[in-house]
Amino acid sequence: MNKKRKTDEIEKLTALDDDSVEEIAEVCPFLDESHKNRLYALCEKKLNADKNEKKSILTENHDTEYILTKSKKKPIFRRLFFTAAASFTLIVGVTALTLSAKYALHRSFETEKKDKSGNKTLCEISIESNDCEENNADEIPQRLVTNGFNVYNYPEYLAFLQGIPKNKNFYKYTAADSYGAINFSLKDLNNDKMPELLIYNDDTLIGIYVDTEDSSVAEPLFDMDDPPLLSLCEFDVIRYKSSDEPLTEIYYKYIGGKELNVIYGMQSFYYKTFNNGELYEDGSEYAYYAVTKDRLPDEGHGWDGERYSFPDEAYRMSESDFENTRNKFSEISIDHIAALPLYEIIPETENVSK
Amino acid sequence: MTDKDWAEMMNKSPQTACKMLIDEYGDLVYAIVINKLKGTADHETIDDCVSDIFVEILRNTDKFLLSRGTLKGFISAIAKNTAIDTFRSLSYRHSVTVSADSEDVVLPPASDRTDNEIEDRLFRRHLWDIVKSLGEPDTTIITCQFFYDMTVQNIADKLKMSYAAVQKRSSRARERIKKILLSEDYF
Repeated sequence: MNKKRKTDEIEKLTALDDDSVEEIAEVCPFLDESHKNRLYALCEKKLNADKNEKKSILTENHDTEYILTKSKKKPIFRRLFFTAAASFTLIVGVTALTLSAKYALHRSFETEKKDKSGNKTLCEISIESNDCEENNADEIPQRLVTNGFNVYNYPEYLAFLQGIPKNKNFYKYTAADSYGAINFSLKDLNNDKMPELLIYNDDTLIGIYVDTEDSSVAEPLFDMDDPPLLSLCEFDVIRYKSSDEPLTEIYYKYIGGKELNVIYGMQSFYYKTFNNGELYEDGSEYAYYAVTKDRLPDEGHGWDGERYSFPDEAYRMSESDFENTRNKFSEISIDHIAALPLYEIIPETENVSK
Repeated sequence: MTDKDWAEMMNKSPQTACKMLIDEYGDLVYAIVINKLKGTADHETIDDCVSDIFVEILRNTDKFLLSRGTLKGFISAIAKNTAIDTFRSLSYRHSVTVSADSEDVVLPPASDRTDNEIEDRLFRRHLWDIVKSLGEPDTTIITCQFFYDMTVQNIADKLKMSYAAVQKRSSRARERIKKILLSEDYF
């Protein structure tokens, strides 16, 4: 070690005494809220890396290739098993849905749909889950597929609408999976209004409506070739929110096409929350957030084995900005911005009143 | 937040406890780290070190609970040690092996270095006292500029002042410091 470096080291290690440093921290605090949030996110990431033997879903999802490759590898015995299971479930109908999602790669059941005139027809709904390890099947969203629409369903009863049949007055689907009963209602009140999907968990509305640029066309929200990637991200945000502060509304902007490979890069979320009826520190009933592509850090997301973390404060926005953003979104007319869904989420916990 | 509050929160919700810790002691830890790493590490590395410190604190909570010291002392100790480790790690990473025959090789520092260290330390303490005596916003401007290494623009943003105003006040404040030191025969 030469003299200069030795001198430098001594200088650094003795720059100021402890009392002075403490005073500086008090007299001139350096960190603002967003910086503290960044630090918190960093800490959480490091702690999660420590204790998570199983990998974070989000971490895995950063790697598009990983997901795509993974989903293509289906063990033959499992394919055979679940093909048989699917056939079986078709025969026995709705009850077959009680098969554990952990083992179901493809399941089908029959349910009843009604229109306003009371006519009943049978509509086949199948549930497909991504190929996944048996021990973390819960972490992979399932896809409900009907003749007319697809719904991405997550364990917390979050759903995502993919395409809607036009000119349908009223349908009610009752389905049950390993997470409990979920009812799906699909409404298209009239030709001028957007089709609407409402999702219930028993009697509790947890549903969605979907808005499209052109009400006469039921456009799929996602590129069908690559739907799970985006939906996972969508749900990551909602899943965390639903386990802590209920999420009341979420707006997102979606840009399709090959940019799907950039999981976070092309998404923006705008959402508002309420805190179990308690007011936020600024006295308002709701808090508003924007998670946009330029504000979404790599850090700050983590799966701790129970839920995702999400540094809310970094994304707070004012109510007026939120409203303006919502309005702007409504006006966006780009082919690939296919829809503007509104989520109305009520979590499983009983302590939320709506 | 008392130490007991924090310890209880740590048992109930480590995540909330972590947030409380950063809220309460983030500035102190940051100042400690800056004091050790200033000029050696970039902001990203400093943030990384600060987060390492909080992670270390959370990992060693049981040690704190068993000890009789204060949380602040516990945090300060971990912060200093971690910052010094980081500094050494950075120094090691940037170290270059030099031939003993090279002209650049300098002999180890002279033995009177310890005296100089003490003088330096006393001088810095005195300098900080002078900076404190400047009054706001000059104290903050000088601290941000020369302790936290912030740019004038960043200081202006932080204090909601114009760039020119910050620059002017900084210049005048330094003049005042110089006058005080001259009057005390420091130069």
